Amino acid sequence: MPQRLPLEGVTVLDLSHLAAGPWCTMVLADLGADVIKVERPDSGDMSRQAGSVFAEDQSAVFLSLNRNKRSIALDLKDPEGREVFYDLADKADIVVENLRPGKAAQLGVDRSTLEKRNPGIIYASISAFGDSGPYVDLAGNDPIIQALSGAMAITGEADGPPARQGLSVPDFAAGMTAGLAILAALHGRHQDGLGRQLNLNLLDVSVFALGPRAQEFLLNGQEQPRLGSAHPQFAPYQAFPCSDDRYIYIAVINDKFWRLLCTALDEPELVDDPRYITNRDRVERREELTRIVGDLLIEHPSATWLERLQAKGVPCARVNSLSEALSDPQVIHNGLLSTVNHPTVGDLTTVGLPMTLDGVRPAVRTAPPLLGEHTDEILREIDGSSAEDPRPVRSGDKSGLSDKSNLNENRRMR
Amino acid sequence: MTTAATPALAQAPLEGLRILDLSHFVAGPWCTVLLRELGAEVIKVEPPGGEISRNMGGVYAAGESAIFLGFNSGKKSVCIDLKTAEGREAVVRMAHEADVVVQNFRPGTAERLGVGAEQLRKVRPELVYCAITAFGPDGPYAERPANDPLIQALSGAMWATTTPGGTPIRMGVSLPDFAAGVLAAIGILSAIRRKSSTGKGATVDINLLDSQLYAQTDLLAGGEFSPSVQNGSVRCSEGRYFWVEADGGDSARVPVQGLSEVLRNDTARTRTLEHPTVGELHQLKIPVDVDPPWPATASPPPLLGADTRDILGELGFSDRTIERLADQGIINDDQIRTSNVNTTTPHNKEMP
Repeated sequence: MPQRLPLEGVTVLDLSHLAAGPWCTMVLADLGADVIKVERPDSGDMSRQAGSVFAEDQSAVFLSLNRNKRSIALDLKDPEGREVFYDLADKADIVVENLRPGKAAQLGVDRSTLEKRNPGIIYASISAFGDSGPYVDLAGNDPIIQALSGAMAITGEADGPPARQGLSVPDFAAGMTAGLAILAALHGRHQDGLGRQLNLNLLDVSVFALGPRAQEFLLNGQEQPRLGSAHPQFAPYQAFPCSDDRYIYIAVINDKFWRLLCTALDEPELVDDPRYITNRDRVERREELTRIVGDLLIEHPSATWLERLQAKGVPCARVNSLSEALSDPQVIHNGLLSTVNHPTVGDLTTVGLPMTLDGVRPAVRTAPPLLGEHTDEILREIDGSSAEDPRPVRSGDKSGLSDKSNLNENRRMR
Repeated sequence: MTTAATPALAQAPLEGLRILDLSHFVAGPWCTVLLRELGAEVIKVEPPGGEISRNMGGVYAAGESAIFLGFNSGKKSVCIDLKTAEGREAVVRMAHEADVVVQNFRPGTAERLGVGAEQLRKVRPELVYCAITAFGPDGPYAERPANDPLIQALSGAMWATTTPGGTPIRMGVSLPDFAAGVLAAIGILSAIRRKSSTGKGATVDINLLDSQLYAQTDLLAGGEFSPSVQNGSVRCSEGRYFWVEADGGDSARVPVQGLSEVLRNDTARTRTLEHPTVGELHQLKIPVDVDPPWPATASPPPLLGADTRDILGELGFSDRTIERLADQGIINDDQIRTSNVNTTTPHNKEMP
């Protein structure tokens, strides 16, 4: 018998677009929630056209963050379209939006409107900077948030300029934090019966994600250096190039691992060298230590070193490219990647939910939806399955509800 | 956005949930501190001498590490030696009263210690049990030690952060720890929700490598693998760095802020707790603003074993048994700890 998914029976209305909001609703969808993605009839979620990587006509960003969801194309500026939204909201548990501050109220889909109809609604708003303050009119895209959050200042080569972290850390972190807060609010609703407005912004979440770096600053008030792949508080703890031009990362977090490293490097005299006994000694002499270890590592190819270091129990790893990561033996073993059939892309491989429940990973059940793919289906659910033609608005142009068959046809064009 | 009638006695949303926290260092404690901030009771079980993060890193205050102080606020600490039969028995009794158990031992260790999922489910069938590992419960790397930069290296994050022609760069944020911690908390709350309708618990397995890849999923779909495209760059002017967007005519320019600009005197994002030995402890708050508000659950990170006596007492251990266990070194409590703590030197504690 298939496992019941943990969030089965939870309905999410998803007004969000691009990355942070869709990431939040994807984790809820992956866990079994019914996520109804409300999209503009003409162009849909703007991430459908975002970025530079496309499979057929679908952007990688959209494909990666929207599986397991349903899409309804609905013009919220149209009164009838908005009525449909209200009907959906009456039965929903959660609304997620990341529109510009004030936009949801302007459209009449903000919490204070919805809670009059559905007082238990949990409404999560994700913005770039909050709804006021000096940055509120800035575009809140990823590198801007990284620059303002402090993350960029502590990322980069030693003596080099600050660097952007190569991943969308603010979007991911905000999406997950919102998902967690939503589940907490849902749990709390059992106790007090109340819905909640949850406000998060990318900048605050990015600062929170600094974690240990932030707590260190709050204790000692000191800025932290950029050290390339290294860490200010441990050594040797960085990527070293090998003779095949590949890097391997060695993470000596304590004295035990230092001794193991010396043995693996076949440098027994280093073990007892008083200059490097404790981590503090090693951090103070980081540069000479980097030279000593680096001169040894460059002598042999990475595969040789990995085998030798791992045999001795030294924490180390190859510095993989993204494509190497996806074919890494442990990733393959874990079965993290999941392939679903997409109507225009064909076989689509995405990263599955990174957890198992009782040993079973919740499946990727459906491909990211085409724009408006589930409009008919969802309207029939609202009005009851017997309704022949559930809404007059369906055929009306001004409702903006998409015609699915035309859409599919268009989408197949390259 | 305000609500007319806010009830006077709102509860934190996870109030009434009890988490038995066997975890250490970063990902596990990050998970449980998030649950604590949202109202759960978290009982942290520490080995004699304390969990390893109390002695990790290079920044300390009154003998407590920044890493420990950062991820353990509001938790209770019970110091018990799980390697003794009586210590294990006490922890099993604690699991009997818990809704959730969280651990991040290496695979197989919890079972060896007698606190694996199946073992604890014998006394608490509906338990939600969360195991956080580096790579998963089995597979080619399962036995290997790993931490944040190794996961950044394996996942491609370090490669994606490298500038053209440059050497690998570690992301300043320890994203593998954050990703696994927050996703573990999400998995736990989801399992609790299911339990409320099915009555059945669950074992949630999560690992740092898979979690990190989920945090990169936007770079991985569609069969092509490239670092996300940047339409701007870091430039230096007047002796400081700026991020400059070069997109169209509308160019945005923001300063690359250092930690001191972001965090100094930032009362909106931080709070101050009174710690028994550190004194004023400034910390980040959970970055979620709620209306109607949830009550704050803030209290400082516990001294080692501060709640041992109380928690064992609640479980029915007599004072005499508690004294005996303390004499035998199976448990430790705050009185013992307090008399030792002032002997450590602030800010320059030796690495383990």
